[in-house]
Amino acid sequence: MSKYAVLNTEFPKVDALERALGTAKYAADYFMPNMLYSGVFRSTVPHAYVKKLNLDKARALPGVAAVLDYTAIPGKNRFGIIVKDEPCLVDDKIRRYGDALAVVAAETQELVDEALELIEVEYEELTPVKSFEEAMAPGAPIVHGQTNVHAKKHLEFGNVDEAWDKCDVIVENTYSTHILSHMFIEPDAGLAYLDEQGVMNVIASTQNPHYDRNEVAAMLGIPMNRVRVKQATTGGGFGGKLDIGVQLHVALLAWHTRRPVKMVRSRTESTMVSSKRHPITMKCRTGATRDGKLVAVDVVMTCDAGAYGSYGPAVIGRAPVHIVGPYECPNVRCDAVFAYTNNPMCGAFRGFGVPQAAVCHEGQMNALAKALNMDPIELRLRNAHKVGTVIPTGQTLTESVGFTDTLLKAREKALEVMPEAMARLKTE
Amino acid sequence: MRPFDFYAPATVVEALELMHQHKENVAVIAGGTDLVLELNERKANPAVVIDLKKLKELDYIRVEEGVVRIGALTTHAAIAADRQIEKYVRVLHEACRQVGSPQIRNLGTIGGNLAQSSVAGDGLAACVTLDADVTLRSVRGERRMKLDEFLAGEGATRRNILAADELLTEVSFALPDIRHTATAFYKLAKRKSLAISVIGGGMVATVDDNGICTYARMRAGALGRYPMPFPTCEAHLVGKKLTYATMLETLPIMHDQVLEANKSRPWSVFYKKESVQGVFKKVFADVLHQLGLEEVQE
Amino acid sequence: MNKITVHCTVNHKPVSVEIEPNKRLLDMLRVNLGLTSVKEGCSEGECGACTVIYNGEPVTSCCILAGQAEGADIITLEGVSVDGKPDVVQQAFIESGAIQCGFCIPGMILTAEALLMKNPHPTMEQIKEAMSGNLCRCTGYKKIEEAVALAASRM
Repeated sequence: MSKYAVLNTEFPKVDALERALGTAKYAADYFMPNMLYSGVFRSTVPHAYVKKLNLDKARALPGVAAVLDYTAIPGKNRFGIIVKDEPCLVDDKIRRYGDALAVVAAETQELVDEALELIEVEYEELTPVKSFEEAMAPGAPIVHGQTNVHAKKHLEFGNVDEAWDKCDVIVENTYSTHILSHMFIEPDAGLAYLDEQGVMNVIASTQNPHYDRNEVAAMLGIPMNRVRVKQATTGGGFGGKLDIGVQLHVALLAWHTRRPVKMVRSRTESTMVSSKRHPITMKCRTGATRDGKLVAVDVVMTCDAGAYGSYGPAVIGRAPVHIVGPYECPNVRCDAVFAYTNNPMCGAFRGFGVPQAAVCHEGQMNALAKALNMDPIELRLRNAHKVGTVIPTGQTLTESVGFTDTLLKAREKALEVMPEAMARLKTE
Repeated sequence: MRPFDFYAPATVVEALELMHQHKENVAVIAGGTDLVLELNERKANPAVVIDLKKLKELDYIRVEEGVVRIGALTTHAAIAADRQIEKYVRVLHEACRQVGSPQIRNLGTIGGNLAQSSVAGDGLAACVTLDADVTLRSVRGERRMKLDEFLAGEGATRRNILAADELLTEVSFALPDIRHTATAFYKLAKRKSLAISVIGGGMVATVDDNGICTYARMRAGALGRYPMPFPTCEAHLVGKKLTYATMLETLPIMHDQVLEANKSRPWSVFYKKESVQGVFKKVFADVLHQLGLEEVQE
Repeated sequence: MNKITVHCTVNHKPVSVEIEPNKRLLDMLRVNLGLTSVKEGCSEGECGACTVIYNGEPVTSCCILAGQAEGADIITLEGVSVDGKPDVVQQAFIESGAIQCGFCIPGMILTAEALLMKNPHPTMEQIKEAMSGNLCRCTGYKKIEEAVALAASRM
């Protein structure tokens, strides 16, 4: 028997029963009387001004209840978790493939699809910014405002420049991680309706209902107490449903039509416009003594953060802080720059930049082990965080530092299940 | 999906009549694993959809006088589960066993796979490797031809020579004599399941009592519009004792052929010119194993 | 476009549904019959979330037109539980911790049910093969495989 009521005991997941029975209601499972279906007309170019947007034919289609562009927005038209830089519907220019230009509500999904095909658009195309390097080049087209620099961070701990003299070995490598889609199994979906008290109700597949409420209220120009957001049972998010999805669009359509409006993104649309994992390039110089103690780490970190900010400012905070991972190092420097481009928007994704940093610090530990002709696990053990370690933020770790124990257990298990691979570690 | 009228005829004759009547804008559906998606995305917009699933007369696997006959509506799952196919026609068994997922194999039919003539169709690659015949029927009558002739399409717009009112009803091929002939298939894909073929390589090889190769046919899917033939490789093997070493001698030929045929697609050819050799190494090892000639250790 | 009437058996009861031909079996089950346990994840047969048991076999209901279901015997997750209580497979999924976000679970359980109906004592390899058409983005599959094995052990 466990001496704790919760720890070391097994509990069934709270709502596992409803999910096993199939009675749990996900956003797309809500149907209401008099409900309209809806969809979004999206840009097919990454960077452009909208010269002409003709909604007349779509509006004339029988069964279509509303076709709206940005002029129908009663309140604000800039959204985003940290930086308000993304429009509900494009008003100045298109910044990525898939930017929302207009929304349609109609009696059936087939009518929505037909109305979307009747919308005509003329673009004045601009040169797209396709990479970090292009964004930073002199004379580059500007995605937002005055500069393509979306965020910058500088981390400095100890004195890196003076530390190189104390190093017996220095390894230098560049690591690049790639953009990644969460691919949550449930595509984004939601439903909005005005209730009898005039409160805008939004039921959505979301990870962020409180934030959604602020955004919906701001977009409609109404106080927060007139907006209610309910998180439906949500089919996976992994960070990708922290940004606002269909919520603004269904709320806007319900506001104008005074009818319940439902929207379910197709897999293609969901993948096109939901946030992505930041692809980060890390140029890293690591120095150590001949007995394998880390002395200095110096990293230049760059990232193509895509068209909108989303959680970028949080990711750029976390990745540098974790750039040496669970290893002690007295001298650390990291310079990070995230740039706006016309690529898909990057945002929160399980770990907020920490997994990207791990590619760098673990790659460097292996490179160092090779350079020192040392067992890579032994090298990690020599540098492992312990109680009393001061990490690059200046914090002293005082308790719950389990890395050494974890590593020893992992080694024990690895020797048991993959002895050949472990033997190769010694010889490579 | 745009509107369309739906018919579910009970006999082939009835189906052919309907197809002829509506041939201006008709689509036929069997397993639906391609058509329903195209309809749903408004990429296919027929006025009439004719369901073939009720045509039980086209759902069969028969062996008659040394010829294997498979009805067009036979599912991949049914072919994969057939004991005779598993024992005598490994190339087709292996290809059908790995299509899509269990759900897709329960729906998708061999006739649909052949008629769609997808670049990466595994059933198609296997049947072309077997030098199979197809039977096409319409109100005008019936015609039979080699799959190689059937696949004389015009690329993207026209997949094969099937007319708008014509139905592929059967695929047939000679039952291999497994004392002297082995067939094999290897699918290279990104995952074990739910993955389209990157390369699907198939082979039929026949040897005489002395182990001399008397016939070889090699084809690989997803390397061109239609399964790619390797005539120079085949010619290299015929007349020689079939050994792993001899078979490996064909790999440089294969490399050069794949590179030449796909050099307009540099993003994939550098991978495929190498991986095609790995695919056929697996195929060779399986063929030699089945013929009892050699056990290749990887 | 003329409406059609589809007669089939859904969850052990005969039904007839008047429906436009340009609807999928998935739409018919979810919208016309209110069986929302059937989930739409990818709309192209790649994720398995819309799996139903169709004449005894698991199939993706997004790849079938409603009209094609004429005469079919269809089972959705609603037809598996008994009086709102989980059956042996559902119970095994709950106990094994196989359920996280739950969106893939209706398809997973139905695929497992179809396997166990045919083969009540599958090997782990057979379980993996049978479940290979159902994607899960949360669990990493191990607990799902364990759940099917647990259910089989109780059959």
